[in-house]
Formats: sequence, C-alpha cells, structure tokens
Amino acid sequence: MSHVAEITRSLINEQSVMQFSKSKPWLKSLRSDGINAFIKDGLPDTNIENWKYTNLNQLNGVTGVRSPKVVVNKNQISWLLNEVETNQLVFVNGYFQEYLSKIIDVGQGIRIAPLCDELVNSDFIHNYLGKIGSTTGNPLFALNTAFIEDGCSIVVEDCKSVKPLEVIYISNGSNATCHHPRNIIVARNNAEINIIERHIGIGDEVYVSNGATEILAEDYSTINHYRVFDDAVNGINLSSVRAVVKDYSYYNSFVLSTGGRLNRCEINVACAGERANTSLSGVYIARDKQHMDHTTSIEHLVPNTTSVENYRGALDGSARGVFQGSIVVAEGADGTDGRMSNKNLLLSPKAEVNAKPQLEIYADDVQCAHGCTTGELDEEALFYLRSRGISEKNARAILVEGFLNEAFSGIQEQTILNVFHKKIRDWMVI
Amino acid sequence: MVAVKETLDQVQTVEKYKFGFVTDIEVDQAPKGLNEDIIRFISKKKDEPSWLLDWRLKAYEHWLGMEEPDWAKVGYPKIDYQDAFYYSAPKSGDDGPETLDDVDPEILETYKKLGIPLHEQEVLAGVKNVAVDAVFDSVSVATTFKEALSKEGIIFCPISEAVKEYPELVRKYLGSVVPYSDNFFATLNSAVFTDGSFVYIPKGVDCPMELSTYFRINASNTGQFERTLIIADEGSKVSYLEGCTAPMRDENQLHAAVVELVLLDDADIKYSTVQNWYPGDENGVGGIYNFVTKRAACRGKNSKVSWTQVETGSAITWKYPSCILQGDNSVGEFYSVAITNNCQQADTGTKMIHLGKNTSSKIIAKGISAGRSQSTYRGLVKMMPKAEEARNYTQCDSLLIGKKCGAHTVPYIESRNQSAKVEHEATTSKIADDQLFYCRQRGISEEDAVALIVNGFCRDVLQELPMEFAVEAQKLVGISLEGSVG
Repeated sequence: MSHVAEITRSLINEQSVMQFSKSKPWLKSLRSDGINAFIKDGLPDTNIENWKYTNLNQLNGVTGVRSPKVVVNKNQISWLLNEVETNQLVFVNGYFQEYLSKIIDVGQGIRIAPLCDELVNSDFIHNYLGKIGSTTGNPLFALNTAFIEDGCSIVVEDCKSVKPLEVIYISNGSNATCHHPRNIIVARNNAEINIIERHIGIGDEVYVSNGATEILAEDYSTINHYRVFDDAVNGINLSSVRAVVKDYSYYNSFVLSTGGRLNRCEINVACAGERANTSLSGVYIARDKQHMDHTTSIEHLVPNTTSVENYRGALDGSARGVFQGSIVVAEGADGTDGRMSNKNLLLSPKAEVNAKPQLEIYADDVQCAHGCTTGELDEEALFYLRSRGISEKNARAILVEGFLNEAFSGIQEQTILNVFHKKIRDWMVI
Repeated sequence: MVAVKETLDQVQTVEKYKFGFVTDIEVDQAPKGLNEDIIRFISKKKDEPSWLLDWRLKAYEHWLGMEEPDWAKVGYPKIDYQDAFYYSAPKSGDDGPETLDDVDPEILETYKKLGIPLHEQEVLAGVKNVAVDAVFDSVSVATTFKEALSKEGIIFCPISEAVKEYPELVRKYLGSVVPYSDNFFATLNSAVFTDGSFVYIPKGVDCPMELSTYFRINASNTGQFERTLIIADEGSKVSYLEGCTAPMRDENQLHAAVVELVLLDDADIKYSTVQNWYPGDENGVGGIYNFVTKRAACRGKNSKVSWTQVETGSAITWKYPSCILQGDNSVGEFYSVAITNNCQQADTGTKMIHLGKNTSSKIIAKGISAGRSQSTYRGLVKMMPKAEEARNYTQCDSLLIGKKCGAHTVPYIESRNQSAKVEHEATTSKIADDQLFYCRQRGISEEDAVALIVNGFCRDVLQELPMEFAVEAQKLVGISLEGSVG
C-alpha cells in the first residue's frame, strides 16, 4: 500500500462520524455521502493530475482524531482591522468560541451565526449546505463534509453589510489531530458583503486544518472574500472553496499565504449566470521548506461572463510554490472573457516553482489569455537602488514588494489594502 | 557513367524485390498478433544481429507490463494490439488502383491544389502500374544523392541497412535518447520497428542538401513503426524533412514512430515535418492514430535543434517533439501548427528540459480547431538546478472556427533554478469579424479569406519551414479547413 493510502486509512475514522447521533436525517445522510466519497477516492496522490506537484505524504502521522476543544486566551488574538469597527468571529480548532467573538449590530437582513447553532435550530441552512459544492472527485471537500460540525454561516439578504466581518480560525495543534471547519456564505439578491478570514496557529506541533467553504452569490450581489493564511511552523492548512456566481454578480477573492508547513488553497468558481464576474488574486510568500499550492478553476458555463486571475509568488530558502490555474469555457458560453496571470520570483538558488496555467475552451466567440513567468530579481534594478545609497536588503525588499503589489489590484478597500501591505513588509524584514 | 550504372543496378534489385514480393507474399506477411515469435520473425527477416533482437525482446517484455497512457485529451476506442499485423504489406499495396482513373477524384483534387505534379500524384495515390517507375525515380534520386553525400562522408540509409553496415554507430546511439522503456508507444515501437532512416553527419560537415524521407515512406508504405536515428557529430549541420502526405484510405491504423536526434558539440539539426495522414472522413470514420515519440538530445556545447511541424492530418495526433538541452549554451526550438477539422483530435506540444548552463529554448505553437475537432497544446518547460541563466519563451495561440470545436492549453512550467527565466503566454480567440469583412468586401470568397487569415496567424511557424515545404504547407492550411465555414 502506498504511503498516501495508509494515511487515508488513518483519516477514515467512522467512529467520529457516528458521534453525531443527534443530527437531523438530512445532515446524517450528507455526512455519510462525504465519508463514502472519501473512502472511494482516498487521499489524492501525485498521480492525480491536480495533485501532481503537492505530495500529501506530509500528512504522515496525522490521525483521524478530531482536534480537542481548547481554551485560548484573549490576548493571543490580534485583529487585522483595528481602525474600523468589525463584527468578529473566532473559531478554535474548528469550534466557535463565543467569549472571544463580538457580533455587534449586524443590521436587518444579515444572519451571522456559528454553523453548529444553525444545524441545531433550524433547517434554514439545509437549503444551502452541501448544495453548492460536490463531494465527487473532491476528496478533501468530501472529508470535510463527513465531519461537518461547526464553522461560520453568513447569509445576507438584499442589503449591504455596513461593517466588515472578520473571522479568525485558530489552530492549536496537539498530537497531529485534524479539524474540518465548514463555512457557508450566501449573498441573496442585491446583497453585498466584505469578509476577512485569517488562519493562525499556536505552538509548533503538527495539526491539519481541512476547511471547506461554500459560496453562493445570487443575482446582482457582491462578495469580497479576503483571506490570510498565517499558520504556525508545522501547521498544515488544506482549504477548498466552491463558489457559484449568478446573474450580474461578483465574487472577488484575495488570498495571502505566508505561514504553515504545507498550504493548499483550492478555489473553484462557476460563473453560472449571465454577466457573472469573478476575480481571483493572491500572493504567496514562502521560505525555508514551506510548500504553498494555489489551485484554482474558473468555469464559464453561460454566455457573457468574465473572469480575471492574478497570482504572484516570491520564494526564498528551499520553499516550493505551486500555481495551477484553469479557465474552462463550456460549449455555448460565447462572449466569455477570461484572463489569467501568474508571476513568480525565485529569491534563492534552492527555491522551486511549478506552474500550470490551463485553458480549456469549447466555445468559439471568446477572448481568453494567460501569461506566466518565473525568474529572479532584475540585477539592473537592484543596482539602480544600490547606487542611490539604499542597502541591499532594503533594495531587495522594495523590488519584491513592488512585484507582489500587482496582485493587489482587486482590493477596493484602502484599510484592507494597508493590512496586506504591512503583512508583506513584515515578512520581508524577518 | 558510374552513377548511371549504379542506378541501373538499383532498378534491377527493385525489380527483383517486386517479383519476390508478389510470389512470396504469404511468407512476407507475419500472422496477426504480437508475441515473441513475431518479433523474432521481424528480426530474422531483417537479418539482424543478436543484440538488436535481445533489445527488441527486452522492450516487448517491458511493454507487456505497461499501461496505455490516458492522460492526453483524446478519446478513441481501445486498441486491440493482437488484432493487427506487425509485419505485412498493407492492403493499399495489394489491391491498390490500377491506373490514375481508379483513384478517388477527391484525392486527385487535393493533389492538384497542393501543386504536386501529375507523375508524383500517381506515386502518392499508390497506383500499381507506375509503382516501378516511381520507385525507379525515387531510387535514382537517392543514388544521385548518395554519390554527393558519400563524398562528404555522410551516411543516409535505411536503418536496417545501417544495422548491418555501421553496427557500432547504431548500437551506440539507438535507444540512447528514447530508451526502450520510455513510454507505451515508444516501447512498442522498439519491439516491432520495421523500417526507418539513419543519418550520420561527420565532424564539421555542413550537409549540402536537405535530406528527406518523403519518398521512402511512399515506397515502403508499411512504415507504421518507423524508427529514425540522426546523429550530428561535432560542428556538423543538417536539415531533415519528413513528409507524410500519403493518404491511407483505411480503417483506423496505428502509426507509432520514434525519432531520435543526437547532437554533439556545435552541431545543428533542423527537423521539419509536414504531416498529412488521412484524417478520417467528416464523421470521424477511419484515419490514422499518430502516436509518435520524437526527442533530441543536445549533448554537446553550443548545439542547436529546431523542430518545425505542420500537423494537418491524422484522426488522432499524440506527439511531443522534445529537446534535452544538456550541453552548455545549447538551443532548442519548437515551431508548430496543428490544424484539426471535422472529428480530428490533436494533443501535441513539446518538452524542453534545460540541464546545462545558458541553454535557451523557444516555443511557438499555433492551434486551429474547426468542425467538431479538439486541439490541445501540452508542453513542459523544466529548468533543472544546474541550468544557470537558462531562458525559455513560449507562445501558444489558438484559433477557433465554429461552435462545436475545442482548443485547450496545458503548459507545465517547472523551475528549480533562480537565475533561469521562463516566460509563457497563450491566447485563444476566433477569427475577428472585421478581418473577415475586410477580405470579403475586396471580393475574396469566405473560404479563401479564412485560409488567408489562418495563414497569417501561422506565419511565424510557416516561415521556419524550408522553401519546398513552405509552399505546400500554406496550401495545406487552406485545404484542411475546407468546409469549416459557411
């Protein structure tokens, strides 16, 4: 048996699924669909095209045991948005922590709650949960589905959320356990919401956070989804987003990955409504032996939809960066406009980058393009800055920042932009 | 006078072969299926040394344990490898048309458009009565070449002949670029290859003429499993043309060839292909499965290899001419036009493996899909840790004509060297209405306008072709797309 297959076995802990004995029948059946799909596919190995560059051997030693509920001190949390008032949700090892969270004045039409409450109180969430993403062919999403218990649930009706929502996921590793936070974000017709999501880790033990998020942007809605992966040194963060964008709606995702030993951030978006628009952008900065994998897929299913994708990476030490992007234009989806760009900087002789920007097009009246580069810092630009009395370290930092900034064009809010700039600068001076 | 005599001798042998062929047909055809005995039979027929037979058997044994690759974006019913002849004269050679009047007028029309002279048309259509003539022609041409080539010390002969005449060269290089265990189709080829060309260009020689396999393929007709080996010694230079314009009206037929190029210091090989195998009819019935492995090893410093291909035929194309850039400062180039129409499927591209310092590669790939066809560019650019200052530039553009076709781009970029630079760009679009309108309002028919625009789209690649091929390729572009508009 291969290594990965062995790990799969240890992850299938049906005992854990059985624990949810009080659940409603629909939820039970959703979970068992998840575990069955996962048992069928198993953990993906590198023979699977989408996992060619990321070996889940790194999960060796990880068990299917759920991470325990732990108490975290309030001063261990720092919020990214200090200048503006936000609604705040905190999850520790996948469990909602009320004493750390703060939901103030959400306003009419906005429903923010921990998923565990939604699952107990009403069948309202039944309309969305498990309906947006599919477990077939997505083993990690399936695994998450098998263990649906808690996470963040946001449903916005016909209004604009006044305050941004900041969600923090804290992983406090012990004995290589896993947690599977499940989130759901729904913007009903004409709704608009800004969400900032941050993943952090405490301690230096191994943990696996296998999050999954289902996103639905209904007609004329906007979802701005900003995420920061700031995991602890030995943290493994696997996340999958499944989004469906309907008529005249906009899904805007930005991802900044800096932490963790292994980070796989997967985003699949379906532009399913006329004039749907998607923007995916991201920055990955890695050093030492970090491995960062950003895999995205945008499907244009109906005519006249657009997408823009822009990822930048800077890799130092023996870090490895992976970018796999795919634009799929279905038959009949005429008038599609899809653009993808991925640029990588190698800052050390041992850093490595693997990129696979794909186009798969079945309609003729389309405009699709992609560009991809890898290389090192421009010697001449470096020399120019040095000749003006800037130290080598600073000069490099200025150039790297300038290079990465190009991926920020999708961020509208200045306060959020400032946060990301600061994160990158902090990374540079370490 | 010597040359004339040589020609006459050749004709004599051809005549003999012809008779032998007819009388011994039963013997010449191995039974259906693939097993060790068939391989021994092929090897015995070719009078091969034991090391080559061992090599074939090793390949066969390895092949038995291999699985047919399924990662390419092509779909076809499972091939029954036991339901094929691995050593036989093809049907067309046997029950071919008696005169040109018997040939399908559609084919003749195509030839006319290609500008191939009547005499050659007969050869291409495989008309029996003129076959001797054609072979005569072909051989005499070959002999004239031989004279001039041998003066320079160049070896250009069938690979089976080379095995006997130059065993040390063949043994040294055969399978050194594409080993017998390489991939499913290459391994199959290693076990059963029946024909092929062998070229050796000695040190410092600039081959005075372009070498071509155009006629050889037509003459032998059986070349389903050809193996080509070209060795360019230090400082040598050669341009090699491979034309597959012979239509084969047949059921789906497997063509699994292997081409190996070896380049030593300062050597230069330009390898051009115009592939126009029978693509099947408009409903996707028939056509050639073209599963080809082509690879060049730039072993020496400053060596340069350039692949140019125009792929218009075949029901399915599965082909990735690659360059292993091992020698410092070596250069790899890949220029490709792939046109698919009706139900054709093409999954083609290249691999550029940069191992040495200052190596550079350039990829220009143009895909045109029409009808219900699917065309995929699949390419790998790999910068290994020692490829200091290596460079790659890739551009792949796709053009779609029609609502039912597909164009896909699957590039793999792997860089493990900081100083290496890789640039890749790709676009997909259709023929702009304003371009079409411009041509139409100047009285150009829609079909001609499309051909004109597509030729412009492919210009970067077509201009890399040697003169003789460029003209033919341009016309092919137009013909391949016939019926795709309007």
